[in-house]
Amino acid sequence: MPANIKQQLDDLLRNIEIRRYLCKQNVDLLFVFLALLTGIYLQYKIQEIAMLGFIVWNIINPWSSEKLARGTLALLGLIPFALMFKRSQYAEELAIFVYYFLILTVIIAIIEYKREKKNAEYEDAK
Amino acid sequence: MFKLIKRQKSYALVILILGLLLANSFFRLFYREEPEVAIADSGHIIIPSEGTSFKTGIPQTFKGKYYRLFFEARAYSENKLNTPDFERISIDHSSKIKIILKSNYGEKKFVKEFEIDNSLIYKSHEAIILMDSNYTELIFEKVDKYDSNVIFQRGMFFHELNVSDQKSADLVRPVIKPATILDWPIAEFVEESPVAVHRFNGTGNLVGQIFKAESDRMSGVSFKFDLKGKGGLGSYKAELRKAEFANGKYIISPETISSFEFHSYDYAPYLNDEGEWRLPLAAILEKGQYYFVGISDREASVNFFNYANILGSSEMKNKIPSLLIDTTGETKEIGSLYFKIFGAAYTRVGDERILEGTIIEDVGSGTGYFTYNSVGDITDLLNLDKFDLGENNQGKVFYLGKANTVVGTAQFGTSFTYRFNMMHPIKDVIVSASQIGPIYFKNKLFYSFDGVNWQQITEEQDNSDDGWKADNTLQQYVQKIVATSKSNQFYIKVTYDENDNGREEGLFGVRNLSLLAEIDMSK
Repeated sequence: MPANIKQQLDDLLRNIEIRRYLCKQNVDLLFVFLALLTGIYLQYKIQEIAMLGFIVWNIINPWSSEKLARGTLALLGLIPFALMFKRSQYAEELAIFVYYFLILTVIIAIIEYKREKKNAEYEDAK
Repeated sequence: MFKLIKRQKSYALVILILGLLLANSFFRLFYREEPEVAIADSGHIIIPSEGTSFKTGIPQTFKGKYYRLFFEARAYSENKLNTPDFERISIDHSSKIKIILKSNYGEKKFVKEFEIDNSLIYKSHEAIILMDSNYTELIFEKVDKYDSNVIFQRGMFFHELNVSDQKSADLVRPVIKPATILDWPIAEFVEESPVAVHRFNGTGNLVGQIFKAESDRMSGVSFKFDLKGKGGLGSYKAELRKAEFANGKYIISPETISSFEFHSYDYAPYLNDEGEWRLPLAAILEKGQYYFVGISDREASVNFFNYANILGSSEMKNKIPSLLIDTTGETKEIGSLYFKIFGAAYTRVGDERILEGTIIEDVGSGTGYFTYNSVGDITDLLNLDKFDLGENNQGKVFYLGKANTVVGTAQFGTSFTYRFNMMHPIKDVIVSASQIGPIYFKNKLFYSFDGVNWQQITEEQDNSDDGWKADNTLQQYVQKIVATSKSNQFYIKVTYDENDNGREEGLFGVRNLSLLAEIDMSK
């Protein structure tokens, strides 16, 4: 590419300040948006789409395993009420979400454990 | 590139997950339940759309002996639902499959080629085979390996025949396995572009159609609904009641003969390609009698975003009216509902109905077997020969979905009877059945060869001396009955044990009723 054209392109990019839009928060939102679009395209139910968006958000910006475990327990606590009001369909869907939450919690807990172990080793080495 | 992935691990993981989800929808990387599988009643897929063959083990065959292979099959285009209407005809092709026998040593024998129709209805196929070696495997193979149909199969058996030469083998009669057609409309009103006739508001109104029974069996009803949101929460109920025509007015009985509860959001089992809700509602009807079949919203809760309309025409186009019955019992005519009422078309030999669940097999040399296994769906009710509703017809006999069997109210002397036409003189019959469950009444079972003289079938005795256990053990019946007459008919009557009481459900009935009879096929 001739040097002057490259220069012009760089200037243009700098002018529109594309980097400003590429901040982490916007990229994260873009990925969540892509996940929602995928869910819509694959004709998932609205609550499943929301769950997919949540999972993607959590992969990028993970909640602590403790927070997720609390979420799991909160959802689990809703199930008896759903059954009490004879909404077995809701109870079934809630149980599935509890299962997803549980998997996420376990994965995040393993990652946290490994990270802590690594930090401890690093501290010891110091 | 790897460095980038390593640095942005979480983004790479998200892309991988979304990629896998998309790839799964295009290439089916992982198993996902298809709606067609749910439609395919008790059969199962033996060859998927991308597969070419199915292999199954058989008891070892012996050289020089004759065997019968019997199976029911149907083909289906898996991508049918996702294909536009104008392309459907071209993919509705039937499939050809060939049957091959294989021995432990790899020796193969071609048996026969069968044409499997592309349909929702199973068709029977059979072959009588003279064995030339010891085979242990049976292979079903698509003749055209590019054929993308799914092959469903059910009810396969492979039996040795009691014949020793080709002449006797030629005399063996084909297997009789009836298929009751439930999609047979006995009354209908079809509107090309139906409009909302009534909006369900959850107040307990009953909206439905009056019809005159032209057939003695009813297997279901179809209505069209327009659902907003989920169509409402809670459940709707399809109800069948008797109706009378007197003084130019229809009077609907408050008693429900048969009912079926469903949720508007759980539409997959009921909604068909034509947008009709096909609800199983079985009953034995009196020919010529008027009936009312309708939908009640008593248990439904609706709101501005979730409600249902029942469709039809707002004008009176049908001779027999559609009615709205409010909670006080007042009736009001509401135009013409879109509806179809289905009967049951039985397989008949001569004038005689052959019950669904029956197999009549000729094994040669004048011997044959009649087997009957209760189906576990509404056909068990349609199979009834008659029922006795006791004093002043106060009892009830109906199909209970949660028990998957026919039940009667354990009061007033209620009973119901099955009649099995075995078509040939009966030599002996083994009857087996069991009580539905501990919350249902104990039964009394009777048999007869003429429908007049009844003998009680004895239940299997529980030998334990534990009194509590004896009270709570389910009744089991297994009895071999040797025929003393040359009758072709066999009757089973089910009623309740008057000495039993306090059962939670107040109902009686048997489950897994089965018969195995040896019949004289030389006559």
